[in-house]
Amino acid sequence: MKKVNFDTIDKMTAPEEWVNKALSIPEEQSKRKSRSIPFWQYSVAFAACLVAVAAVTVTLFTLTRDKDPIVIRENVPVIVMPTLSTREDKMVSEESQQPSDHNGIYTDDSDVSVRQDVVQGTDTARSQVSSRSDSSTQSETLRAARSVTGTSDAPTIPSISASEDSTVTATEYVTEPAYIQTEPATQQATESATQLATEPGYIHTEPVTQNTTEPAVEYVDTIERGFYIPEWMDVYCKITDTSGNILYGDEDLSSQQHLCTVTERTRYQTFCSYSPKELGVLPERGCYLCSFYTLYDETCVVLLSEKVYLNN
Amino acid sequence: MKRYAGLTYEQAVRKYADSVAKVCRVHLVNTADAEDCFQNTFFKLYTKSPDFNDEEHLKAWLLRVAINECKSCVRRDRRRNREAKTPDIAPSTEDANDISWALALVEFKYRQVLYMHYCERYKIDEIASILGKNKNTVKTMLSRGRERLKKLYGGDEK
Repeated sequence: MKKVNFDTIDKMTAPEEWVNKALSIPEEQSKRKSRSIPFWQYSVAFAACLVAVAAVTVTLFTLTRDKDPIVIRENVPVIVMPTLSTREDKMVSEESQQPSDHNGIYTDDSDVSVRQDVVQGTDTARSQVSSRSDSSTQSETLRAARSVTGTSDAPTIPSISASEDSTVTATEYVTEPAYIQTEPATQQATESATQLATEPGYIHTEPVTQNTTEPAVEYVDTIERGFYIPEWMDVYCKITDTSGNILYGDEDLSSQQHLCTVTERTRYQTFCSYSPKELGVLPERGCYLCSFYTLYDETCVVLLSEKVYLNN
Repeated sequence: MKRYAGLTYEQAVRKYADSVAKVCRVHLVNTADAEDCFQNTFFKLYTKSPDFNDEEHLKAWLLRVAINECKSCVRRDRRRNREAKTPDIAPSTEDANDISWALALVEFKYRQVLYMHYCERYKIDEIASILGKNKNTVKTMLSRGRERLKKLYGGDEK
């Protein structure tokens, strides 16, 4: 019988490196434990977070508890032009704080008279501000009063001089150079304001008032319009009265009498002109209804219909 | 300081390092894997700190943990589609009766029983206790392992 053995396996030994590593396991573990955060610190941090959140919540609740919720109002009217009004109000408040004694800042008699006029004008303007209902006039009056009112402690931006010779005048205290001189409040203020308004360098920024009752009408001889139509299309023009009654021509509205003259033709647009005055077909100078149309597949297609004011 | 069956950790490591290293190197082809299993075995000894009745109990526990670590390593290799290899133990040139190389070629499940029986000198019931298997199962595995070993080295067993 053959006797066998496992001597190779029996003689195996653990390498010293392996053993040393195994022996260093406790040290590694102790280092890792010292580096790790203990559990009680996690608990403390968690509790601190809870307290902080609760404190913030309570604070916010306390701050907002007594306040009503924001109500969104509908149909709030839009207030236009707040800028000038704000400035005017500010100026008026500044004027009310002015000292009565100006410590002789007026160098000659004319300046003093101007000052007197200004003071009177200011007072009158104030009284008119309260009486007038028209806001634009109100603003203008205030502007008139302010433009000729000087204060000793106002900003010293030079803008207007009542007298070219004087070194310090009432108008030098006007805060902005482009301030507005408009209709004065009283006759006395008018003189001063007019004088100031005629001074060189004075800038009129009065808004242009439009007459809304009567529209600005321009009477023309020739009607010129442009249309986005193909090049081959003819354009006709029909002039009727405002009620639509035919004033001239035959029933065939596409006759040569109604044919427009092509003034310019581009790739996409056709510019036409029509001169009823040259045709002599209009009964009188006035407002008419003008209709431009074209024929497409024997159908009348209206391109434009509007009111025009035509010369006869 | 924690003691393991009356031994300190260092004493336990130094006393059973060879046995654990042998198990790891017989069951695993890769030396690095064997070292990992070796370290893991003693790491578990330190961290788990189980109570042992005596030193034999400690040795049995270490061998069982080492074999389980080797199994896990083989399983990991299988999942990673690594080619299963047997430990590269060359036949001894000096002793023709040394069949350690043949044991290294036997399948893993028979190898562990054969190793416990022939190298560590454990009896069948002890092997069954250590590996957590039935006594008859261990008997069968030992018998079949012997047959496979005989086929490999082509002679009578010890």
